Amino acid sequence: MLKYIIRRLIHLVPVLLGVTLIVFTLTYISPGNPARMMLPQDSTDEQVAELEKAMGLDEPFVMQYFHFLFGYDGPGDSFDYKGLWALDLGRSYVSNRPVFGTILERFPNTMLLTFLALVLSIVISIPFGIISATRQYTKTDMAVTIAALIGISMPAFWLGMMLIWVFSVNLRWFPSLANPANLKSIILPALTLAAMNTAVQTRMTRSSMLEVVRQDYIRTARAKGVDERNVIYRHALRNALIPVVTVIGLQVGQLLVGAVLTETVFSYPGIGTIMVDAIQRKDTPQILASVVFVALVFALVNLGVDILYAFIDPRIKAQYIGVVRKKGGLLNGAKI
Amino acid sequence: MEQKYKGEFAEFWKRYRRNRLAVVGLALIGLYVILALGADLLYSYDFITGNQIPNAFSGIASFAEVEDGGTVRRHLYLLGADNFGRDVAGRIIHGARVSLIIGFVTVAFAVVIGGSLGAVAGYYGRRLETVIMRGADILLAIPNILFALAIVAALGPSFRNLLLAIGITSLPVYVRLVRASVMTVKDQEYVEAARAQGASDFRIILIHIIPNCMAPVIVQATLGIAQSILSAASLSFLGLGIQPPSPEWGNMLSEARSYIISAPHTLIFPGLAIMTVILAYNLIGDGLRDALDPKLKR
Repeated sequence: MLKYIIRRLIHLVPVLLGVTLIVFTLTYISPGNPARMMLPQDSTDEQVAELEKAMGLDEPFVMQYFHFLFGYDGPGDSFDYKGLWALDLGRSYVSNRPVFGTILERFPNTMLLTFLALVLSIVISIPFGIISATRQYTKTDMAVTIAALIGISMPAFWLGMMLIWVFSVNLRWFPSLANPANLKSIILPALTLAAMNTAVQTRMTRSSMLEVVRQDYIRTARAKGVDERNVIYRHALRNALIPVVTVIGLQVGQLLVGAVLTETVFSYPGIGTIMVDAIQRKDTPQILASVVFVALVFALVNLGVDILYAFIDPRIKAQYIGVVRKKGGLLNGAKI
Repeated sequence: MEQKYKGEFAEFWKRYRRNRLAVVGLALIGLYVILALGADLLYSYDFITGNQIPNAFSGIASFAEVEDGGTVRRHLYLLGADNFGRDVAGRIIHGARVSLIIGFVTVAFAVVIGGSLGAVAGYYGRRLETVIMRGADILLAIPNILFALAIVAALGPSFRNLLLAIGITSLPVYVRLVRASVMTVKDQEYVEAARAQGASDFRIILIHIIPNCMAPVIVQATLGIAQSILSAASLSFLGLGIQPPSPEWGNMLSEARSYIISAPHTLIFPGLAIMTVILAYNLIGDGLRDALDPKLKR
């Protein structure tokens, strides 16, 4: 087991380095000079060059990437940072606060939203999936299937706004702005974020149940006189849930990313709003830090889920020995 | 030969047609394509991007005097008007053109580039495969929308950069998919036969291998178009995609957001447009998967 975990961690290192290199390169080639942006409009070229030197922006690409990873110690003290390994990429150009300070402060909010959405999606999808499968080709099944189809096709940000329109503007049941201190205000964003996953998981539960009830051991159970309720819940469901649990695990990372848009719609103070604000203000260190941070958390969450599975189901470990697990799972868009 | 091809297509269509929802999906996309092609005949581009301030927020199916190409005429606002008095229906139809182009171009880019890389990796194996697959792993490790966001944020919002961002982020899926298919096909007898006849690697890959691994790629590409359209709308919604006054569903929603109380129709219809297009592509994708799956044959 330990060998498996170590192997997976070793495989993760080049991937993470690649991710940081890509994000850094993107910022590096991005047009616009941060030094000029920080200075007043009428600054001379000499002043800009001086500031560039102080910020280490005059150094070659490789050196800048090295600083990005392991820290920068410039001529002055104001632009020093310890590098990504120490979660320190300097200060925001806009607020002048340490970029990772802001991120770590708001990250629990994003986690709260993600967790609520995860719970909601599980609680809704599994019962509906079972109902749909046990009543295949009835009106109930049709309704669930169509609802799930609409669910996977609805852009989260539009769903969020429609929920605001119905439940905040017209019915006045929930506030339209969400904040973590008020749990009631997080219900709409959590529902918005959960929608896509709920739909995917419902479809998965349904198809997995339908597959399982065709198996011989189910026929055996029925033949030996087990009542239908026990057949479904004790014999079929347990086996049907294995692929569903896999999908749920793979969706955790997707939820985290989906939170970016959902947070924007509800002005919820999480990582997503930090990122979007930073992009709109061209606050390079903040953009860099939040994108890298989410990408790292995403990779680690997926790794954690994988290791957890290896504990639960030994077959999975056997399947992945020597193979790096890929992100996002089923063809990446998780269309099942 | 041609006879056989026709037979295959008829066979395929017979199985595709069995899935009613998939046929509905195809009809919906057909409708959008027709609307997108005829967009200029229905509403001129200048009219739907120009301001008609006095008619701002006109309701659904309302008539108003508009200035169009220097003349004043009565105009039916089928789906109402937005905050600048621009026709919502017209903007949706012109937006369909943008969305369909984005979906097609980005997926074509990803399939051609990603597919070639995957074919090469799967066919040659060894070092080349390791390098290509590690690259794909790294691209896959960054969540799609986040990666697209980073690319557009770095390069600046423009139509070209949007296409590039979405194209690059959809690429690695096809690398993996084609590689896996090629690996299952490359040791079959007919490939060996082609090699024995002295066919070049390029010819073997292009003529003998690729056509036999297209089924999963076609299914994924259909779903991929839905994904691309969604990503483009999301980025435009965040202000990083197509910029107003150019009509795009995501930026229409972004503008309409401020008028959720006074003009909900500006918010409802562009969203419905995105939803139906994505739904249609998902339905087609499901239908294709069933129709192309050899396990389900007859």
